[in-house]
Amino acid sequence: MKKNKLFLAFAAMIVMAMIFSACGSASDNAAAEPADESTTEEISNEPVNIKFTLWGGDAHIALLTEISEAYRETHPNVTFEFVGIPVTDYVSKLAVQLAGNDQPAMGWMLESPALGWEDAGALVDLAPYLTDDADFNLADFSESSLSLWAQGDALYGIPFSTSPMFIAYNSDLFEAAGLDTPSESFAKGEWTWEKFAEDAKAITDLGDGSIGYVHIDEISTNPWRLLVPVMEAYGGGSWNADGSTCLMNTDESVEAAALIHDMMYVDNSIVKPNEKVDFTSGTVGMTMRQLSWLSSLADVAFDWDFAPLPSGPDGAKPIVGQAAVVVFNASPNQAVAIDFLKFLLNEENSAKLSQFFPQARATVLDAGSIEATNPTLNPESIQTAIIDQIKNGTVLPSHVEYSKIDLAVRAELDKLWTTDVDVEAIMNSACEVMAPYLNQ
Amino acid sequence: MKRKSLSQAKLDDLAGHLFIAPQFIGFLFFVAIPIFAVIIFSFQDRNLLTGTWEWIGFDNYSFMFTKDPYFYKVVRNSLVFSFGLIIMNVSLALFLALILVQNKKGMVFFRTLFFSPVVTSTVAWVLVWSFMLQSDQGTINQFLKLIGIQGPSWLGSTGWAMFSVIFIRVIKNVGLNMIILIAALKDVPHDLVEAARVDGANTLQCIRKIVIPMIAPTILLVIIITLIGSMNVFDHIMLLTAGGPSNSTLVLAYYVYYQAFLTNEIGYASALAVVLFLVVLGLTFLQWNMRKKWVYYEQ
Repeated sequence: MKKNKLFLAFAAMIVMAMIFSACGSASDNAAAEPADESTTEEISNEPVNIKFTLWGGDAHIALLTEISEAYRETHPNVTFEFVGIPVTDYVSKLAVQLAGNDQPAMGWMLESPALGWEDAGALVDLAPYLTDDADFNLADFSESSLSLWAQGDALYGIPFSTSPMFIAYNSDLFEAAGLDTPSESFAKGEWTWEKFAEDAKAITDLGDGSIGYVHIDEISTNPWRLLVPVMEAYGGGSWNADGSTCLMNTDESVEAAALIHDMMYVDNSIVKPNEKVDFTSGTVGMTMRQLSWLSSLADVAFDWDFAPLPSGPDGAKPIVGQAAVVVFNASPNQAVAIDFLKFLLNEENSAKLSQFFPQARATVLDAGSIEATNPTLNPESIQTAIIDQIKNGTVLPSHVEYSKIDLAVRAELDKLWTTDVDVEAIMNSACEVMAPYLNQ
Repeated sequence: MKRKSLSQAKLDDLAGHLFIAPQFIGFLFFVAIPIFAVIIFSFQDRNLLTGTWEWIGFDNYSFMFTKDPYFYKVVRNSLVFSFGLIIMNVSLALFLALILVQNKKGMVFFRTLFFSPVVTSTVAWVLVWSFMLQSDQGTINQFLKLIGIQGPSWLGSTGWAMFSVIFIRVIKNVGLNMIILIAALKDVPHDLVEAARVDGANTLQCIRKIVIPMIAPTILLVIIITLIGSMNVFDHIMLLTAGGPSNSTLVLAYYVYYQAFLTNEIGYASALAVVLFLVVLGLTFLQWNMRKKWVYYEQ
């Protein structure tokens, strides 16, 4: 009996020791400390492995590997490990990796959770290392392109992708419906959200199984990407710039949401929630996408092109999806990671990245890098739908409490996706559930 | 002589401990420590991104029961899911087992047919069903249209989403319970059923008065494992509805994931996980104690 008790006590001791070692110490919070500048001024010659997380595919990893090999020519002590994580799990898996013992040093960061990560102190402030670096030339990035990543004097990320959303369209279906293409409507100055809705209805009315528009994601799991551009163009939006006021119940936002609702349930011209229809099937007139997706249209059996987002009563409001390279505070190799970030996003390598991602660097944009790396795309569309939109684009909404707002508001917006609804009441309740999470 | 036998006893004791050591060490590191860690984390405000934490006592539990706008809805959804699943799964499994226990031609084929979803990848299973349950183009609604019925948006309407998820999971897992019940049915003595028939009992009476009481311990086991599985459901919810529409399928296990990995509130997620653990433990304990009322042939 005594022996059993001793055995249990020993086991309990091991359990407690393991738990407390996993807990670490509240006061010994090295992860949240800012980077030690003295270590970043001199890059160590000791062997260093930089773990770099991203959500891209093999082609992206191949390009990053090529750039890292060039970096290794002057830094042979540094090795790189590029870790791909599916974009849908990226934030959650990255958070778990940062809490473990083999933290990534740097990686890509999406726009929507960016403010939450900045606020939590998970990202290194890059401003002290980049602001005065003449070679890096931070001034080459427009102020609007850095706005999401800058908090006061701090700078938590450098965008490697500033990709405007545009309308990709099936030219064959527009021709069959006897319509001007979105590019033609844009050239005539007639490309508005109302025209978008009319065109979508006309394509649906062809009666051959075609439908006007399909959303990038399941609309119930990501309504923001469709609603935000329309609400912004109407003069509304999701929340104001400092994240303190909900804008979804303004008359403009309600009108925008009503347009989308009526397209879906009156005109039947938008693919409904839980319907599985893909643009590449050739039966869909339009979809809202970004540059990196266009490669999936390489083998489709119809003609296609792309045009800027339509304008609304408040004018043209380009919306930009953005992603940045960040350095994690939990990383033990911040100095090398920051140095590699400077190399990765310098002018020369930014030009290479532009084959997949439109760059915010003015010199790279103006040099025609997107046209050069995407020779199969219509150069005129690249100019109007991508390059012209980057400089004035508004980044998709982000908020410190984004994930909580997302869960709360999506549940209300789900009520939009059915027939005969009171759109204004739904948008009002969306603002009510959002209120507890807005900045005071 | 006595000393030698004591030494032998010690050796036996040591051998016994050595034999259970691999299992015990595995249990300690992969079960006991994580469970204790979750309990301890539940008393902390712990941020996954920065690794910072502080003791906050019962604040997580207090928030859960008094301020969390989703908690009671999530618990209600979990209970609806579990009871709906248990009723549908166990009744269907019992029905199939009673038919397929017979040694007739083709029975093996049908047993294999109903068991095959169990070994099918959940992702593939869910993908196929999400196509079948589309509101306009789905196979089910296309069929209903043929007979003049306008089918609902199975996964997109708050009234049908929970039922649809339960149904898809029942069809996926019913084969396992069916096989367990078939094994139990095969152990029911034939002479008891034959004697009842001689006494004039019909098939339904034989099932109700003899067969079901005889396999009651197995039915209890099936209910308990189905209950535990249902309270921990995550994959079907994640892949089919992500908790929607309007949080109508937001269940505890998915909510734990949401709090832990989407809002990075590890402390609060741990508190929810502790509650989930206690709910499952409580319901299992309740069933186990109620067995005396309806399990007559427990060994």
